[in-house]
Amino acid sequence: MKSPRIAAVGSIKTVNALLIYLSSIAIVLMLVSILVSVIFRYVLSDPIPWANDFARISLSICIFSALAPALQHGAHVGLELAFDRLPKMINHGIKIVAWIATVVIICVWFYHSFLRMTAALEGSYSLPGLYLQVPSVPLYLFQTLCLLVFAMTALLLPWMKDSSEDTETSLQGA
Amino acid sequence: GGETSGENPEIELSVAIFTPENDMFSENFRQWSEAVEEATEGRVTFEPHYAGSLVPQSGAYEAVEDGTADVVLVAAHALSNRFPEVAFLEGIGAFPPHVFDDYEPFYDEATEAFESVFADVELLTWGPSSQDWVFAHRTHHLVQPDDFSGQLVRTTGPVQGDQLTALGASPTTIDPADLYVSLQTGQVDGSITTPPLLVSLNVLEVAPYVTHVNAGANPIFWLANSDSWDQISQEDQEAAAEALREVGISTPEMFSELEQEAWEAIENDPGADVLTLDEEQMELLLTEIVPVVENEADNAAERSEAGAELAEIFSGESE
Amino acid sequence: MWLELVVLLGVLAGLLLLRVPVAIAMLGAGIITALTVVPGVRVSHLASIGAHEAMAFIFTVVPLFVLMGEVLRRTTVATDIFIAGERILRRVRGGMLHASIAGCAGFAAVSGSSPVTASTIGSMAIPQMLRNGYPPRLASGAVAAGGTLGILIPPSVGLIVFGVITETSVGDLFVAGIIPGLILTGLFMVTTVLVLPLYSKKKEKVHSATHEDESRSLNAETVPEVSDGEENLPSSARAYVSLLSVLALFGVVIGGIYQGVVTPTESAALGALGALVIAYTVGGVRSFRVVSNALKATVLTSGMFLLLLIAGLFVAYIVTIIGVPRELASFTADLEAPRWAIMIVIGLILIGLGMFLDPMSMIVIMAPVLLPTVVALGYDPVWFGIFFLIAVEIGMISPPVGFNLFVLKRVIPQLKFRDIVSGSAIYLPAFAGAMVLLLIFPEVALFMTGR
Ligand code: NA
Ligand code: NA
Repeated sequence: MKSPRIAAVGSIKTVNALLIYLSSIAIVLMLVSILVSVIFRYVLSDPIPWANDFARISLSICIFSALAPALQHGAHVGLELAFDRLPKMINHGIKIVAWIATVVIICVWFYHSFLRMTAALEGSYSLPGLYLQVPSVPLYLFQTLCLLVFAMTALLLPWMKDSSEDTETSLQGA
Repeated sequence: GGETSGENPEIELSVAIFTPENDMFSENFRQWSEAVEEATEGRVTFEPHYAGSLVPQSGAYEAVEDGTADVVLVAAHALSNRFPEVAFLEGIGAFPPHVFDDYEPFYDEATEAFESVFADVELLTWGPSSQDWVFAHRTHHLVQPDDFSGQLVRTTGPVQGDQLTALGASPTTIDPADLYVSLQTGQVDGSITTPPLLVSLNVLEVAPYVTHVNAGANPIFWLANSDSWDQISQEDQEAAAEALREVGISTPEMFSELEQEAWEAIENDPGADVLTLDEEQMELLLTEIVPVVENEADNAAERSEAGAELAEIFSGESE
Repeated sequence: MWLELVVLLGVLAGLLLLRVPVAIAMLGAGIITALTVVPGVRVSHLASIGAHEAMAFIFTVVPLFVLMGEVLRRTTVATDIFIAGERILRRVRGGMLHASIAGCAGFAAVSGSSPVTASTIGSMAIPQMLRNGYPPRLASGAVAAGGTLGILIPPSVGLIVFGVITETSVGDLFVAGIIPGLILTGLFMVTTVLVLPLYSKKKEKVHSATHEDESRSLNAETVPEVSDGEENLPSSARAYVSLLSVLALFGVVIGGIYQGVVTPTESAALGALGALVIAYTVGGVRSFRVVSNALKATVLTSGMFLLLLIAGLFVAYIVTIIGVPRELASFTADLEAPRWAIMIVIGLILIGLGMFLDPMSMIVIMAPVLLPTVVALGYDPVWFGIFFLIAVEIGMISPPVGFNLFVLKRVIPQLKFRDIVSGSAIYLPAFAGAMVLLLIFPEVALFMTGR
């Protein structure tokens, strides 16, 4: 029998791997819908109205599903100072405080997203700012679930570091 | 910050305005805010944040509901996903032309109905966003259904979108900030818009064919967060309400003066090609697009009592 | 205003020192400020940003341009550009240094990121230069500095972020970056010419790559393999074909925006498509695995950028409520100092912050704060974007936090970090020169945009 923590780390890693696929699909769909709209416009001179709205919804899916995997793989950049010179105990303490802070901050975001979703559930209105009449609940639900995975990833992060693959992505900033 | 109850505390409220500082809605803000400041002897003041720097219009209602902004500017089309009762007001021709001849009773009656629709927030004042609308196009005037056929036209919201569909065009929504580039690149062929926006966004450079449609639509609302507004003493609230009503009643006149200025700028633009619809053309256009508004108004009437009231008031047949 | 600002910046600095990721630290600073000292601010706005602003259409350019760069860095294109540059410049003294700088500029034309540009060119050019006896300091400095062109020459994720956060036209920003990018490239080359004699006097060997044995060292054996190995074309011919295809892609992507035939989003989509086409034709990519790896990297990088953007919008909202941009603008207006002096101060502040902050965080934190001031001084927002980005570029090669420095140390571990830092410092006057030039002649950035 695996310990609950190992099982949790395993499942979050699986979920994040799936989220990377989902986010990739969203990017490809975004790419294709924009290309198709360019082709329709210039080749068939018959522009398509839904391309914009479709790309925007894909974008939202792409962003939210990328949050947790990016955290797991160390893509979110941080300040790197020479902390290694500090005594080991202090350094360890700093890491724990930073970890707790990260988890709490993401939980606050998750909480407000959850409230927004339940409000949408009551009103059952469509997404603002789009011409397509898209109900807001599924998208808000998806965002809230992604933030939950984001929070879980932050919580389990100290136990899911396999840093060999991850260092490269952290330098992609700019 | 609030002081002891019974006195009249000094309050500063944040105002989220999606238009740039030089727009006519921003001018409208300055008018009513000055009136309120004067009426309350400077105890109630407002801090404007223009050009969507506080919240974008699509999130404005949520922002005022939970107090992210104390006061927001929002147009009917951006409220229709929350309040389907007001959706029909977005449509071109929603304002019967004769209401502007005797606006005061119309304003009071409609205000009461709007207040019962937006029950969770405070309606400060409102106005018709424009009595003049334009179709701007890259290559030709949009007049009759043939001109619209197959064109991708940027619209304000879903109801104007349905009106475009009725005319044979394909509607799409684009952020006003992207309108210029979208027209320049042909991502859209044309746009429904208002004369002042046409000028402030330099749309004429990329879509010089302007069709002038004389019909009111898409009212704008100034909404306040209830808790924020209740910080103001009862006495000052009453003084403010009276000042806001005065400004509200004169808003169409003020807008039409500013629209007139915009029209002069458009007509003096050598690149622009303006076509004002004659009566017959206007009639033809309206027979295509007014049924969309009427249909939406019927939906509103079925939805709620307030919706039924609004439908009646804006049908122009109420007394 | 001051109490709120101190709380916001204090919490931000504290979280950053704890090494909380920048974006999350910004969210935390915003949340704590909202809950403690600014009663008008609602934390719930964070949920609204996710729901509304994160769906802004212009955001779609971020993943698409990132994908373009991620695909191309997995091809032989970067190597080819360097080889082509070296062939053209082989008779020039210090030719490989010039080829590295030109290679960076060339790759910058199809990549939106500076560290990616520096690492892609550096991983292949620096070993070549070391093998040919170039001093490590100059070799790494040229690539570290040249790599910063990645975010000045369009496409640029930095300019996109600046455009989104300040509501400035991304298309105009891209077009405005071209000439300053080329000028900076030229200044790097001039700097190289000026410092080369100093290194010769110190008796360090600097060859001009004219001998047979040196050109032989540029064959496929010694160039680190980026492709899966098959070479159908002789490397020289392929190098020129690659160079031309990159220029063609730049022409389509940026030319399309400049000519007003496609929107920035559409050009990003065309760029990603073009990158895939180049990858499978001249780029030496044969397996789909390369593309799927590029997609995965795109997801992770985009996740990072877009979280920073959301955090930036949240902090910008709080800073706006506090009234910082307005106060700052009226404060500087009352100073009665000449506007160029104020801009120099702003430039120095940005360069100082750039020592510690990463480029994107700098843009999302500082651009909305400073823009009203700069506009009140009478400068164009697009011009400020370019000025800002050059300051950001300096930050990328300044210790302690300099992405281009880190990335070169990582891809070529035998380099000494000290050499990379001091080598980059050689090019600092070039950056300063470009900023001064922009101050004196704003048209340098603006004339192509027609603003
Ligand atoms: Na670039
Ligand atoms: Na730095």
